[in-house]
Order: sequence, then structure tokens, then C-alpha cells
Amino acid sequence: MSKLSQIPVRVEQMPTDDDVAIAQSILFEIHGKLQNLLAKGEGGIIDLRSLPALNQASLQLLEKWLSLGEVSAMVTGVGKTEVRETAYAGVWWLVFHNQRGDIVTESIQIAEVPDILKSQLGDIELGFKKLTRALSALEK
Amino acid sequence: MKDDDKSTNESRRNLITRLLQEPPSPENDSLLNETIGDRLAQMGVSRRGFMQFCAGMASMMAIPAAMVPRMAAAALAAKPSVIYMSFQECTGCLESLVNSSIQSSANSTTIENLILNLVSLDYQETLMTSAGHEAETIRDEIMAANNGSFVLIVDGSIPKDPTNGYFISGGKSGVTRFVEAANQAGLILAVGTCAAFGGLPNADPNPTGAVSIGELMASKGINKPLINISGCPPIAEVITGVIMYYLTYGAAPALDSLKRPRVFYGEDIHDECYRKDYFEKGLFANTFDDAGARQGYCLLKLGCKGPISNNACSEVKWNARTSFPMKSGHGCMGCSQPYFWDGGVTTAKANPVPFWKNGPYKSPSFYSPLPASLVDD
Ligand code: SF4
Ligand code: SF4
Repeated sequence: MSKLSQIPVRVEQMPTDDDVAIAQSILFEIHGKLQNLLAKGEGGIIDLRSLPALNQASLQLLEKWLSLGEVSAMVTGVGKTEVRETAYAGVWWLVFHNQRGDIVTESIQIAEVPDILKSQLGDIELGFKKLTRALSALEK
Repeated sequence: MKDDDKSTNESRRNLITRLLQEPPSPENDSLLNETIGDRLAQMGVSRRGFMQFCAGMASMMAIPAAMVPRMAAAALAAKPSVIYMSFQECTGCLESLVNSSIQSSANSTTIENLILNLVSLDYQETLMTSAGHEAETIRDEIMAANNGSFVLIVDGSIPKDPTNGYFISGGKSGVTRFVEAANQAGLILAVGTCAAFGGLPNADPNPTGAVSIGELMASKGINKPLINISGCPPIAEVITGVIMYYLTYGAAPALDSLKRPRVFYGEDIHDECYRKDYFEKGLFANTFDDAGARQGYCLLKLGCKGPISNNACSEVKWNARTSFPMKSGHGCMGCSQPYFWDGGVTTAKANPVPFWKNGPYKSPSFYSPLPASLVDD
């Protein structure tokens, strides 16, 4: 039989009325940004760590409401960044870790594809340059 | 297959493997033109990796998350030249800055390591290999080539009287060397409490007549933007954070009345201290090894200066975010405030407020409790 310590346990905090209100206000903000994305092609980012009133309970509630979508990805550059699409297409949940694994920031991006997943032009140029050099060395 | 063909195939394969795996460097890649992005590529960090780093940095500095792509783009395109000059100091500030990069393993990139490698630290007497006239010539050339745009980092305070014979280097007084550089700089960062407020050299009896960088600039009519990054030493992330901010916005962040960036010095140590619950309940440690101290009670009675000291220690923390003094059982000593070494730590509100038994400049003790009148909440 499994011991309690072997079962992954997550402490669910009971949200207070305030916690529900805060999570709800973020839902409104997401709704507004999604509307903007559809109308003007402009989404936005909500930095969850910069909202002092957002505690663990409201964060858990928000995560539960938004739930999980079809895509999840891990960026392994400078520390790891978890990228998950929520059940609402275009609403992405991002968790940035530093090299020690601590969470440095957490945000919600409203976009077709989050910026952190896109290849950067400078990186593409460098890769192209490398391939060109390797292939032209072959021709010689 | 003939033996000849086999060996040709093998050498082709090796050549392609080598060319594709070789990290880009100025010698093997003409695409690199010494922007920050190129320097990062040489360190094996992609532009995307840099965006991850910027997201953390922006959050730490309360820069809106939507600014991250702009922050990354601005920093990646920049080629900032930094001249770091040391005056009457102990090298602790530089030690703080470079130690955090030493902590990382050879190939890893801590935030500070990144920034240290990002900016072009063109002149730093302790770190550079050249010395004497050669080093001075390099500095003069760099200043001339980047006139009006380089960042001048200064640590240490300077004897105000250039003729008193103290602190002569290369035949020039500290005042002359500083003024020459400051007149050509775009931004001046006074790093450490000595540069920001006078610090240890300026403490009574101040034998060399040392003054802070701000005071010297005022007396010489130098009107360049100045940022004080106080602390003895300052936190490495705070120094690099301010450089990042400047790269992003091309201007100094909002400053407090002592010219310190509000993002890092806006709160006092006490505001964010994890012992504050005990403070509020009136539970204090009375000696360093009593039962209260072991329980994590407030250290106010053991001389903690947290309530009048503005710094980011309890938030950003020290040694790659490992800990900060109160977490290690010692109160704040007020190292980021003026008159720190004299025993009359100054608050930003009142200037100066001597509080030790015999007033400032006499019998200072880091362990004398703050008077109740200076502890608001
Ligand atoms: S007085 Fe010092 S130890 Fe006590 S709560 Fe304030 S900062 Fe922390
Ligand atoms: S806790 Fe106080 S004395 Fe210690 S480094 Fe921070 S400001 Fe300086």
C-alpha cells in the first residue's frame, strides 16, 4: 500500500470571498484582452507576481477555472519556462524559473503564440549563417 | 566503396559536424558585430533565453510584463561601454558584483554573470590585465570614442582637496581623474556607500577629507545624471538591474531623495522582513542565543536598523537569493544609509538623525537599539 508521503498531495486552500473577487477580476481582464485580440490582433500580458492581492488561494482558483488546453511546452534557455495553453485558446499560462529552479515570475499572455515560444530573428539569422558556412565548406 | 571515397565521406562528415557545433565567435562569424545579442550567442545563450532572463528582471524591477520584448530588444541591440573607476574603497563592491558570477559553474549564466559579460567593461583596474600607462591610455581612448555615452561606475569616495597629497595615482589627484571621466560620461553610477555618501573614508576623523561623488560633482558643477547605489556592499542584482533599466529606457529609473532607484530602495528592510509578525506582536529576542532568537523573534532590541534602512535585502536577498541578514539571525546594520560608519545612520526622512548614545561620530555601536521615535510601524 502506498504511504501518504508517496501520494502527490496538493494542499487546496479554501478561497475567501476576497480571493474569489480577485480571481474574478483577473478573469474580466483576460476577457477584455481576448476581445482586443479578436478585434485588433493585440492581446497582452498579465504579470501575476505584480498583483500583491493575488495570494496562493486566488491563484489556485484561477488555475482551476482556466484549466488545461491542448498545448504545453518547456523552454530550456536561461532557466526553464513552462508554457501551457489554458482551456481557452489564446490564453497562455507561463511560469518562469531561474537556473536554481525557483519561480521568478508567473504570467498570463493573451496571444496566438506566446512571445517566448517564437524563434527570435537574431537566432534565426545566426542558424542560417552557420548552415550556409557548413554547406559552402562542402562545395570547396 | 573504395577506401578513397570512404575517407572523403568521413572528412566531410567531420567537417560539417565541426562547423555546425562550433560556437560562433568573432573569428569564425562575420555576422557577429559586437552587440549584446552577439556576445550572448558566443556564450551559448539564445535571444529567446535572454527573453526568459528579461521576464524575471522586469518582474523584479516592477517593469510591466508587456515591456519585456522591448527590454530584450533594446538591451540586445546596445553596445554599452562601461568604465569602472575605483577611488578610496575596499574593493568589496566589485567583490559583490563578481562573486555572484563566480558562484555559477563555468557554463551556466546567472543574471549577474550575463550582465557583466553583456556590458563592455572596458576599464576596471582590478579585473583588467593591462596596468600603468597602458591601462590609462586604453581608458582615455575609450572615453574619447564613446564621449557622452559611456556609463561611468565609480566606487569609493574622493579627497575633496586635490592638493592635500592623498590618493594620487598616475601623478593625478582623485579629483582630476574623476572630473576628466565624469565630464565625458553619459551616466554616473556611484556604487557602494563610500561613493554614494562618503562611507568609511568619510567617517570621523576623515583624515583625507573624503567626500561622496554627489558632493564632488556639485562642487565642480558637473551636471550629469547620477544614481546612487548604496550598500556596503550593494546587492549585485541591484547594480545589474539598474544597468538593465538604463539599457531598456535609455534613462535613469525614478530616484528617491538620496538619488537611489526607488524600485530597489523604495521600501525599508523592515517592511518586507519575515520577522515582522513577531515585531507586530511585540515579541523580541533579547540576546543572540535566547529562546526568542531561536524562534525567529524580531531583532530590534539587538540593534536591527531595518526600520530606517532602505534597501532590497529582504526582497532580492543575497548570494544568488539564498538569504539575508535577518534570516541568518543578525539584524540590519543600516549599511545603505548615510553616516553608516559613524554611528549616526541617517533616515531618508530626516537628515541626519544621530541616535547612538553619544550622538554621531562618537562610540558607535552597531548593536545599540534604535530609539522608539524612529520606529513607526
Ligand atoms: S526590526 Fe529588524 S528584525 Fe525586526 S522585523 Fe524589522 S527588520 Fe525584521
Ligand atoms: S540588511 Fe541592512 S546592513 Fe545588511 S546589507 Fe541589507 S541594508 Fe546593509
